[in-house]
Amino acid sequence: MKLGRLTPLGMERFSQFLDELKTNPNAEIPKDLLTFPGYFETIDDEIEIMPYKFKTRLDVAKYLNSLITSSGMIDVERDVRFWVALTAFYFDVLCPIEKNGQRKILKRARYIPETQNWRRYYRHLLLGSYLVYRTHLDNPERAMALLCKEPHIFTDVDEQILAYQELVTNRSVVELTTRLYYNPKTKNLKSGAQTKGVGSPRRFVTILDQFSLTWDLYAATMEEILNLLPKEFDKFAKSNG
Amino acid sequence: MIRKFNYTDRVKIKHDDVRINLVMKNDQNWFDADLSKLTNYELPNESLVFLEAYRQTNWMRFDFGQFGKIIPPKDLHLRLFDTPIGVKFRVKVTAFGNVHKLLAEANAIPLITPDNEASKTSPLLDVEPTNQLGDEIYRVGFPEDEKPILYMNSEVGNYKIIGKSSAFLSLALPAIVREILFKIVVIHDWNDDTNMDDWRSRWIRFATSLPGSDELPNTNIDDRLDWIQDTVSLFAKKEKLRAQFKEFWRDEL
Repeated sequence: MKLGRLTPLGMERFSQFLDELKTNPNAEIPKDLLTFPGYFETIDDEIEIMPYKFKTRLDVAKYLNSLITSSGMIDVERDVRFWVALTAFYFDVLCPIEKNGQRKILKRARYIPETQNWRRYYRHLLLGSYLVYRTHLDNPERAMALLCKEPHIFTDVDEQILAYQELVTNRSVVELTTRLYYNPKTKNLKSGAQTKGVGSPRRFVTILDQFSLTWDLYAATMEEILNLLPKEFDKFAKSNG
Repeated sequence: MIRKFNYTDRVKIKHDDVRINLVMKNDQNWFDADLSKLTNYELPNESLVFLEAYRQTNWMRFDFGQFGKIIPPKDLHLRLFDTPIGVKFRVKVTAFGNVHKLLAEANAIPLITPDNEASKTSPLLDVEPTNQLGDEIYRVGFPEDEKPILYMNSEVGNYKIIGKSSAFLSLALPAIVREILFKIVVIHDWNDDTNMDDWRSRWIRFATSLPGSDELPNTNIDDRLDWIQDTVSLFAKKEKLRAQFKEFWRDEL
């Protein structure tokens, strides 16, 4: 696919396809969505987007960052039709056909970014990964708890941290999230990282919210915030798996 | 080093005491900040002053030196923001040293651009075009802790012209006001009209200043719903929306 975006008509067609998938999980993505000029417009015909089978959110984010940087596109995070064209192109990665031969469709915000909705824009499977990667471009390893899963998987760790602009942009908080919930040996989330009880990401966010009333968390180091956490987080802080 | 003790009596900096302007340099977005009114606050001279620019996951921090001697950094380039639309600022004053204790703060300060400079005070409702509304013409959004935004469908025509048309004003505006007031006084259960840095207080002040308006009822939900209805009715009267609709309808015939 050339670098481009859907037209308003293409957006309608893609939206219809998502509706169709709800009732017919075997529905196929319209073949002409990314070729018919009525549905798709090219931004730069010298840039070819490659049909990679990305293994993780980090892989896809890294590729998209290099693509967007080389294209010189501006204000790309608000370019909804661009993201939906990418979503259509990588649909097999973002909504894979499962063992039963059918796709499991998720909520629309996973496929069509709601960039005007601060609660939901990060839920887009491509835009969310890209924004995390770009925010932590100096050291993406810091954000592995948010980028380690397959591109079509959105965990509760993602949901909790990405929902708060003050958290996802804070290097120390993201570094601590990875320290608590990511296992570098298995390159996956630690066991129990997606529970909702003590020491969970939900509790972590609640506690950070309380801290932010008193402290300038942007200036604090990861270790300083870790030392403030109550004991309930010890099981994740000290665990390796 | 952060020490564990409870401290929450931080000072709230008023929005009116901070003014941040967009400055264009070689087609790049820079800003300048007037923090001169911060001298009205009693804070330690050695405390540290920071400005943070943010939008979605973009965030930049600027060190403005010490409270007693504010010195803007030379580089005020908003390099992470391709456009200035929707960029907001925080002002933070923190204790000197590595304590990171928050002494004073102001959130969601708008960046003043040539587009919004005409209104010297912040409008009650921001308007933004968007291409994500599908078949809807407008939608009211409520960003976290911030005033509402009226999103206008940019794919059905010039949103500024549509927003000023007698058809839109007469039909959509009462519904918009009703939705916002419902959010404030029913969902948020907000009744304070004194804190002019809070968008909800400003809206209640606006509503109660309409000619013929009553005070907001205290807690009874039915009374509050009646108050919203009365307020919308008074608003329609003040804005002469019936006449606006007739003008639109006459043009249609």
